[in-house]
Amino acid sequence: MTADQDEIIRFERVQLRLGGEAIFEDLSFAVRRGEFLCILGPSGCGKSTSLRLIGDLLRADAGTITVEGRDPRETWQHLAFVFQSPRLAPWRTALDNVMLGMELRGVDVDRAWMQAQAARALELVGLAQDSGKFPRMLSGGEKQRVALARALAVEPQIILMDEPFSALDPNTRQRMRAELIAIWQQTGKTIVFVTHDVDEALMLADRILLLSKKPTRVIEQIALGAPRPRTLANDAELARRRDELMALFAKLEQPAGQPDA
Amino acid sequence: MRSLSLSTRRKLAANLFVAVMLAAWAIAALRLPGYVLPDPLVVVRQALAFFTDAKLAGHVVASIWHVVAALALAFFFGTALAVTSHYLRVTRILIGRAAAFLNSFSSIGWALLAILWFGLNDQAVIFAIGVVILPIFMINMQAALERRDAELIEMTASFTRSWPRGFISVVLPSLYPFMLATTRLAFGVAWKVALTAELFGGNSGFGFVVNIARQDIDTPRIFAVIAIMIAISFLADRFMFAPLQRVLTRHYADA
Repeated sequence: MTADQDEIIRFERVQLRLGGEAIFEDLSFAVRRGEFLCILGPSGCGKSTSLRLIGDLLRADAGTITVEGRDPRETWQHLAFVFQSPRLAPWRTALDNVMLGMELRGVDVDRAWMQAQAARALELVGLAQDSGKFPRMLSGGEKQRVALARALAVEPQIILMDEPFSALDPNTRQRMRAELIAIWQQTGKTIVFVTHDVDEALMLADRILLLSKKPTRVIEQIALGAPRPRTLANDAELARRRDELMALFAKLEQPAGQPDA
Repeated sequence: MRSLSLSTRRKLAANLFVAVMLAAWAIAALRLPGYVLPDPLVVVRQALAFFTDAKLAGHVVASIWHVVAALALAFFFGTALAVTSHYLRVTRILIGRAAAFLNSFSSIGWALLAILWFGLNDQAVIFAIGVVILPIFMINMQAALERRDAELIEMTASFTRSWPRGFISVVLPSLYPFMLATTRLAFGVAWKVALTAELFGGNSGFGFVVNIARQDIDTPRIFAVIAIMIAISFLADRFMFAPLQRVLTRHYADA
């Protein structure tokens, strides 16, 4: 792989073992600035682990990972996570939870500015009216929006999203996807989005990175040029991609030793 | 009775049981000498004297002071030691063994040692109570730290590399319900230990009063002390700890 001026994240021949098991033996890929990249792969293939490597929550055993051309240890402040569960502090209101990200990051500004910034982030995710509510008063989708607002409030260059909608009901998930695309278009952030849902990847991504089973490598990269908002039913190209990915996915999810269908 | 709710019936049954016990006590007191089993009314009069007589009231205040001071010290040192052993792995075995030792040594032993080290005074009593309840804080807070929400901790790590910031903003508040539950437990134990510690090493407080009453064969006063101690424990639990626990659990429970 050769470095591209536009690249913001780069994995080069990354190796990682966890608990004696090889997760990555030779993982290489890159993410462009402002891109919406979906990492798709079977359960347990190390999709979330790749995000943790980018965010410096884990260190690779070998190979090179760079974020903005530097070691992740120097760039963790330029990114923010949205996890599978919202991970909100139950004792804080929605507004205070959004401020928590800034407090933890040590944003050196006064509290009034932080409050205004948190309020702006909540407005962006459509929760301006609910800023005083505690997490227990919010629905699953609303909690996940607060988590997204918390990530946006620290003004990261990159947002790492680890299956953030997987625990939501189908309708809320659909709505959240549309809202996420709108926010991404509005803010121009780079988003790395992990999912094991083929439809979700096709709806959201500029590019899909399909990962194999462990030891994980990139099987295929699919660039999607379809305009947004996307509907799988009315787009022949997306429908064809979906069928291809579904077939590949079925093979990947198949237990070892079982013949192909 | 059928129209009464289950909780009302349970309360009625409990109150009835207390009334029957009091009646049995009153009847038994008629047949036994006063120094063996005093009349309940005499005990009530003695108990009231603790709030009308300045000297006796001073002993109530002294006992409360001993318990509160010991609780505060044990809370501070016990929590600090638990945090140290959790984050500084090298200290874990040492602090674990210290907790085991403190937990196994008797309160009378500590009271006697406290007299030798501090003399007959408040410090000796506070030390003896504090050192007995210290392992309660050490062990419970250690368990609470082990049970922290791993997802919340990872979220914190994703936003900061500053340990103090993460500890103050996320870890510490998540421990509040455990802190209160431990304080509630230690409060009850502290009152039990206070009597022993004051009896052996104090020059004030309920234990001191009991010691004098024992010498004077003043059984009603000993009964009055027991009644007041039970009342203080019950009232503090009912009107301070239980409501606080409800609020904290609701506020700090999982989202």
